Amino acid sequence: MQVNKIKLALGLVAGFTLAMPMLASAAADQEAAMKDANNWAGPRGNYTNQAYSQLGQINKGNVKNLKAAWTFATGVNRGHEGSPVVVGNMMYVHTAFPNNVYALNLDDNQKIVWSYFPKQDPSVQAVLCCDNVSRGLGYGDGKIFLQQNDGTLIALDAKTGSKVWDVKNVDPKVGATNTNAPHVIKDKVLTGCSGAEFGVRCFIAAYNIKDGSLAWKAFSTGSDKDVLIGDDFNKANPQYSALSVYQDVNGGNKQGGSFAAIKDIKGGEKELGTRTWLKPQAVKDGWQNGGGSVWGWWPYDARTNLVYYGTGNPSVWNPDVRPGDNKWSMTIFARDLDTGIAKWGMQMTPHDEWDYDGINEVILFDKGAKTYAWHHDRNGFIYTWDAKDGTLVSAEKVHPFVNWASGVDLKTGVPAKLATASTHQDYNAKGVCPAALGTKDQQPAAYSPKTGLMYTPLNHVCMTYEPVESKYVAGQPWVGATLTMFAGPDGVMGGFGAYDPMTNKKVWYNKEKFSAWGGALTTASNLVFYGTLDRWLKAVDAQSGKELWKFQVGSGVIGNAFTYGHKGKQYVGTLSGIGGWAGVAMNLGMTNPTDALGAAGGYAELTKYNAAPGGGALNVFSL
Amino acid sequence: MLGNKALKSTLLVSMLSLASVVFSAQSNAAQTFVTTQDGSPLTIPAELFDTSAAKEFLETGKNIYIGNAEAQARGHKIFNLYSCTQCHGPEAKGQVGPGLIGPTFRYDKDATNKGMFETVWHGTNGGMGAKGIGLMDATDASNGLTPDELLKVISWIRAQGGVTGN
Ligand code: HEC
Repeated sequence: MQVNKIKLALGLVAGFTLAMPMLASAAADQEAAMKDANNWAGPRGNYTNQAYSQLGQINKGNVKNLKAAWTFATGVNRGHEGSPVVVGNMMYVHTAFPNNVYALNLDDNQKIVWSYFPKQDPSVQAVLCCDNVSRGLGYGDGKIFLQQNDGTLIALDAKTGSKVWDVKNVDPKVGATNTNAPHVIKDKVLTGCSGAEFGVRCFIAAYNIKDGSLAWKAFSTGSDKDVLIGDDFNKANPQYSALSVYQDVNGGNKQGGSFAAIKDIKGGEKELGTRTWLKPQAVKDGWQNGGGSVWGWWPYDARTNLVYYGTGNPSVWNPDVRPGDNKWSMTIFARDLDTGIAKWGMQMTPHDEWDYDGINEVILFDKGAKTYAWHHDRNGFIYTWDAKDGTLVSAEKVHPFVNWASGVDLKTGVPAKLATASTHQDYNAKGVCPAALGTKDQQPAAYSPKTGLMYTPLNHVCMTYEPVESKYVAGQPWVGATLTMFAGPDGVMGGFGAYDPMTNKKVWYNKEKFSAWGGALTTASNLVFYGTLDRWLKAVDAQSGKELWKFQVGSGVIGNAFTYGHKGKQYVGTLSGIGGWAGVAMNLGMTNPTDALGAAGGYAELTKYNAAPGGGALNVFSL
Repeated sequence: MLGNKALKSTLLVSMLSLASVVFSAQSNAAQTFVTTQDGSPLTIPAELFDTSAAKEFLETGKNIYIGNAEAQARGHKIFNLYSCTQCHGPEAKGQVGPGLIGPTFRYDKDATNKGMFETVWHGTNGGMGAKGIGLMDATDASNGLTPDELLKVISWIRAQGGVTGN
């Protein structure tokens, strides 16, 4: 029924019936919509997370003629991350807190068909660590899904905007919030949990899209039962399940104030989500306030039924109070979509000392007969795994300025930490690169099957990092380190580059004045689009990185470039509205000329390009 | 931090103020405090002012820790201990919350040490909960700043900017 209506609405005939038998799922309308390149039916276009579009009307020859087609001011002046969702003649636009939703009719001058205004307690804003962002909407089963900052996950009727169901996913009273986009896959909608700066024990959760009942929930820390780790976890790579990679259970192996990798680590261990937290902290055992936020972009492979995501930093930022590897924070997991059971998981930054969250997106791509999982981590390394079993194929520094580790052991995945970057309580470690916001943060990279290259936005920022004593108080920030950030050795704060995902060697690299905090888009015509904090939306040549077009929008871009087709015409767009971790202080603190953007002090020059607070708008371009 | 919690804090404060009636006879406090939320009377049990600096503050509204390097160092530690740094930044120059060093303030009275003391002790309506001992955490009355600790925090905040507040 549902499916037929959508099919008619989209005018989809060819290819549609072929797709159906593959997955008879509740979100068949979404799967069908993803097959048509005119739509942008998920947070990153489709399940692969490639943000690659087959549309190619806008090409290298004519991109210079790209002009503003229409804009839409969201009425909210804060950081706008993510992108709208486009299905047929409808576009669904989200905003920063209070997370309003607008359904626009592309057939009728982008007229508002319905809107939804959540009622959220304003105090929620105080417990969002890094700006009041939302990363977008989910679509499927005739519904639009919104994950509100206050933890409410809500399903709206895509036609009318009326509420179908809602469920409370996290509780802001203990400092837990949400910023991720809901990800609709088959009959489930996946959502996460933010709050590692508040000592929240975070998780990924799957709700049934029909009624919002909980299908499964997998914590980032705790018992194997709670983390949904089964018997054949890490079967191909048991060494990923080691009790300690840097020190024995007595806490030894500390050399010159740092940690040296243990040579012959013993794998196949169980219950690591509790046993790698060697000391109680806060009010309970370490893992009970262990953090491990989940808020990225999550791809899915229907052939293996695996969904991929990363977990964030262990709480608290002071590493001395949580000896041990602190599993499974900082981990890339592959889980069975139906059961949530983890197939494999590899911790990238054991015993984090720098807040290098592992939440950045995984992008799936095929090469030869194999599927690979690619991930540009905040810790400055790019990882490529065999997607099926987690065997590490490549792990390289994205830029030589990364100085906390010399390299990553391909067999164990363990980084060789450098004593010069180690951090300890009341010692101010200087010149650690990258800064806590990583060589890349939330801004997702993109892949082009045409060029076979990954296109990633980059931060080029270093920091001083001083762990400090910090007391846990439920519902209040619990940080445990103070840090300041500044431009890296290139003399700029960002970049944008193309990398070969099989070797993770750089193909081309463009410097950017500020961190490139907007997500990338690739198209069949070998164009790459991305936005910058100094307000540019740019188009570059996928093969050479040469800039072919740019347009300056109203406020810095932290949204993801996206594309869609309507009535035979290709459109490219992005949300603007500065904010996020890099720009949040601009939105709040700038009442005195002396205000220095707090931890992100290096970004003070943003005020020369942006009014505060950043005005939210959607910008759409066509030939 | 607002809503429910604010309500609970108010209840707690009124309970504390009942208790303080008993103690008020013992002190000749010259200062009367008001909340930043609505200017209503704010009673802080006199026995919490248990150091000479705190007693001096209660008498005169002056913060004798201003300019005292040792007090500032301790104040900085407390600023970190309660993660004020997460909202106000490592140098109190703003992050997800406002900068605290002046010369202008969200609440004009925060240019004085007494005003800033009241703001932090009992919180604001616009996004910050009470930080005074007994008020900060509805689940654990031992959490929060004592008057002496708060005076030290203020002395550190003042040292980051040009305002002395005395
Ligand atoms: C969860 C975030 C958060 C934490 C933690 C926090 N504050 Fe605040 N603070 C705020 C916000 C938001 C405001 C602005 C409130 C308003 O406008 O009503 C504020 C206001 C203030 C002000 C008044 C500033 C002015 O311009 O008048 C002071 C002083 C202050 N805070 C001190 C502190 C101290 C000291 C601590 C730690 C004990 C602390 N804050 C912890 C968020 C926080």
